[in-house]
Amino acid sequence: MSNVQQPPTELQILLDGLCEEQLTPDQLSRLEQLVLTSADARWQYLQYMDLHGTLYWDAAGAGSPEPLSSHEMPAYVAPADITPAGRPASKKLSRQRMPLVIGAMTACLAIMLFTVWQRPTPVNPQVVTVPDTPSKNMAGVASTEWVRSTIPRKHGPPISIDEPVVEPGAENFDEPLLVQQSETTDEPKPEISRAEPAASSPVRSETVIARIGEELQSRWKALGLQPSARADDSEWLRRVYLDIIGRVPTVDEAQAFLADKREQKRETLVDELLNNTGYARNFTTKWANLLIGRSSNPQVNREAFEKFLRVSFTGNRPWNQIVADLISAEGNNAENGATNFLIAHLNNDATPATAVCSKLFLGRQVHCNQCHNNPYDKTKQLAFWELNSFFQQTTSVYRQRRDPNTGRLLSGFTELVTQDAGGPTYFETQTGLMQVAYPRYNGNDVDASPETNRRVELARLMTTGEQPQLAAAFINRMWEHFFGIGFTRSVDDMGPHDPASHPELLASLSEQFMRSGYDMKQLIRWICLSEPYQLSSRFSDSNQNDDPSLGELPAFSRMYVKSMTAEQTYDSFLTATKAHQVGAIDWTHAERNRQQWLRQFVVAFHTDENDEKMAFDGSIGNALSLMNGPLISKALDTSAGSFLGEIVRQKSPDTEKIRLLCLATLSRTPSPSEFSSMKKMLREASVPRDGRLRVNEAYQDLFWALLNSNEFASVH
Amino acid sequence: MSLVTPSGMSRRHFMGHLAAGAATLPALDFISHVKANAADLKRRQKACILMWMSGGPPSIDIWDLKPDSKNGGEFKPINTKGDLQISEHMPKTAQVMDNLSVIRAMSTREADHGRGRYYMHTSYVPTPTVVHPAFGSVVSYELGSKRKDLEIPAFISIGGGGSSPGFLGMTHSPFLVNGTGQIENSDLGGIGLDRLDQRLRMLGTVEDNFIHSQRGESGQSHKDVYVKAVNLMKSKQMDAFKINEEKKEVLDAYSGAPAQGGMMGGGGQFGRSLLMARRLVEAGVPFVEVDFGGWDLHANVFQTLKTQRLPALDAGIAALTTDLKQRGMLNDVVLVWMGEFARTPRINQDVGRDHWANSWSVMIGGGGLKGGMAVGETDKDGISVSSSKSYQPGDVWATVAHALGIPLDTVHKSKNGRPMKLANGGTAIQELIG
Repeated sequence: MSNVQQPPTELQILLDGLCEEQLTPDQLSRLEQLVLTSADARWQYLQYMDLHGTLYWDAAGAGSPEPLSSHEMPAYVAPADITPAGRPASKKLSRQRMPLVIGAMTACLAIMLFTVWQRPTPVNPQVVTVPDTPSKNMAGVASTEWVRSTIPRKHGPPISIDEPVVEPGAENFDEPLLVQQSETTDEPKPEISRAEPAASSPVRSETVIARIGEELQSRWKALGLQPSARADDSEWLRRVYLDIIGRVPTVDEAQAFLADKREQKRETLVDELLNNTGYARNFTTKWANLLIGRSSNPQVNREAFEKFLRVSFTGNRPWNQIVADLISAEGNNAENGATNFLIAHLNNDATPATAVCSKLFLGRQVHCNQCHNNPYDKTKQLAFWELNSFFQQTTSVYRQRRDPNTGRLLSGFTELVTQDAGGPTYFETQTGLMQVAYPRYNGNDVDASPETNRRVELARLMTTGEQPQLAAAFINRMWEHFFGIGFTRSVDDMGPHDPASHPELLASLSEQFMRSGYDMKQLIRWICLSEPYQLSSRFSDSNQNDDPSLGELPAFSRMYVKSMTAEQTYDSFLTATKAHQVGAIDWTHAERNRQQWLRQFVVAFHTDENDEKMAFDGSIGNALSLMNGPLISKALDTSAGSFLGEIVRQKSPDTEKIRLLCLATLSRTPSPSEFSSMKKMLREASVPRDGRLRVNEAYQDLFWALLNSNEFASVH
Repeated sequence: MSLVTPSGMSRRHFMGHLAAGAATLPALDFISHVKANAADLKRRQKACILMWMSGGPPSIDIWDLKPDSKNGGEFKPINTKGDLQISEHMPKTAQVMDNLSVIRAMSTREADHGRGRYYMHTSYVPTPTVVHPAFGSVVSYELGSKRKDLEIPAFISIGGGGSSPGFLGMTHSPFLVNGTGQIENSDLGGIGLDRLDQRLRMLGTVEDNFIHSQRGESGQSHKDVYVKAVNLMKSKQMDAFKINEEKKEVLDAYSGAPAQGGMMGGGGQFGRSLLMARRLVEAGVPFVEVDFGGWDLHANVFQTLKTQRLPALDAGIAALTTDLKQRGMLNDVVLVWMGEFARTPRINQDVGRDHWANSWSVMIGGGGLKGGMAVGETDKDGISVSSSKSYQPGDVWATVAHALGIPLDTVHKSKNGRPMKLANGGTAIQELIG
């Protein structure tokens, strides 16, 4: 929030009002109007919501004594006073007053997203040379930037796409016509209309979800497999929480869902989780790790990068636009977080940038092609350097500002800069010949003169319109996220050497994903409500061999057991134990603690490929950390106000306390035999020794066992 | 379907350990028994220390110099106590080269860090269908599982962590430690052994329920790893990590001259890690990997080698070899030096060398292998193997297996039942085993 110093604008006043729920209906509609008519306002709105969201996670989120009810949108915290020190002071809204605010926010968000989806994604297969330098570009294009609606102009040059200027209001009327036309004529539908998002030719979720089920069933039939039984509510609940928001449900969340008798409760929960701040946080973690790695790099501003992702995911920006931003970002890396992606990979002639873009966005490993043609799939060394040459104008510069009054150096930042450079990129073949490569992507040559901003061109060629490879790579990675394995064994390297298990389904989902306007939340809905995602992880007699760890192609006839990631473990520990509430701290501090804990598992190789490994892999070192480390010792705190302390002091029978501890950790009620063995152990452990009753210790030990168990460590 | 059970080490074995721990008394008995026999027995146990040069070391500047070629660079070769010459910046190592040999005819085809790391550690090229175990995990499986008195992990990786146990399972995963000798979270954190045992009993109840829930083997392998972690926490053998118990002269010898100690870009660390490796091997650990990084020298190769990498490397190898010899352990401990690949003979425009797998050197010695030899050779510019035979990592690991007494016809089964030959069917290098 850079303009704290200036008098508040109308928008800010309204946003504050929204969070303080002081808005009259008139003001609310004024706010809607502002947000819907100005890109800047939308950006500010998202920033504002993001700030509240992050505060919310810490102060009221996971582990809140009050349920994040499964019937409401998650609550945001309000108000947030930005004190002169910049430290947010937050207080929680009372529960009775939340629904109004929530409702208003939901309305705003829904309308906004709807509008964003309305926007056609333009396709322009020709090569377009951008006539101006990026900075000159900005002024001219900004007012028509609808696709990039959530990005403020200061966040780098917009991708210069020849895009029709459409009045916002006119859109709703235009598009159905377009579709009707293409449906009634015999002419092949132009690609552009198929890439058109939602509303006009709505992708029917039920159809997509049903299609997933049908595709898998036909394979099960062919293989003679009986799928596993439907997962019970506890199993499914824990899984969907971990997969979508990256943590286990709280006791209250679990109880609310288990008690819910409505038929549509799974659908409802998926929607609620997608609107939970944990959703953006979880996928921010995932993508930040993929895009900039976990090792620290002094040039990279991780906080700003995560903020870029968080705001993008919160606003559900289409995936192709996020990718376009990452590729074409420019400027100060503190202000435009997206720049940090390339800043992290520009070393060694941007060869890592080349390899990582291809791997993450297209699902193709090309780094071997840096030195030679690939003998397995015909990709050529030249193609690597053609892609690489898109990054050859780009450099990063470290800058430091000086305080104008004191003359002291202020903390610096990195700037991602496009230089006026042109011409070919040189590379050496294995036989020692020097060769040249010009910017060329997927058969499209791009003007190699200095006037062209090559990254803007690459972003356009890679992300606008129908991009089956971009879509398929994303689908595959998301499928892996939810099922533990993608359609191909490696999501980083799809290709003829690694045939997909369900090629038709992958193609069809990619198609629908493009039609939905690269809508990530929609994709997650499809996956989480699909038949295979409802299945138990227990195998039946018939599908025991459906096990990808045996090297077989997956049939998805049961849910494969995943291990919690380090981040899921940390966040789930905090949720289950409310450890973060022992000695409450602000969000920045909390995030710093989280990063510090995670760092112990990162192995960086310090090579020119920026490769690293996360050694959170179920090894002895991990076990030691969870058995004896600081996380568990905080969790076992029984002082007043701590989670375990409250439970132990409750005036309720042992069975109730056991039930609550199991719910907090495993999201389920213990079986009768578990009840009796746990009760027995507690009794034995509580026997007074040295004249001291040891009830607390007994409960600590049970809680320790639950938190260290294989079941807790699994997403199943 | 299920993981192959390590020979001589069943799940029952693990549970036996756990039960023994719970009863406390047998465990004490056990420890004193170990102590009584340790000094003598342990020294005769076979082991391997892998010096892993992360990033890809330029073997042309270290083990196979080409002074008469334009590719030769700045360094000159010097004579050694063995029948071969090495770099002038390895003078201390030159004095122990009668114990060490250099395989100069490696030709390994993977010149990408990730793939090279995998290939050199496992002897297999990466494939999407199966994860192969690093050779350290193979040794853990073959030898570690038979050492009943070994309470700490059988594969320890100091300062590194780039390898995986693959289908052998997480109990054979490298135990990652840093070079300081501080093992994070390995003490009981103020609780007594009785509390720990109480916790483990409760854990057993919860875990067994999940193990029997028909969800595959992840539940059991989680439990197996916890058993190993508990063994380690209770073990006196953890003292092997405490390098500060060594005399100062020893520490200094390993990390180079005292004046340079700590000033060699992590070099002092390399020496200390090697010292820790020796202590671990003495305690009965059959495989220790020591990571020494900073070799990805695309620029300024000679200056970096001369001032940082080589002084540390030289001191470390020389001190370790001498130390093992003095303790009568050199015949049982194999030393291997390698990275994911080496570096281009051609010197690039930044006075650096790039990735090169076509013709390079690996150093190997100890363990009863012949020292002082160069096996195979490269041509005058170092760009290809000129001897009749070139070698793959499988041949190096087969040679190590021979020295460790692991039968070369050993076959492991991957999870899907596919037979996997030890070291990918490599053959022990005849010149070295004689």
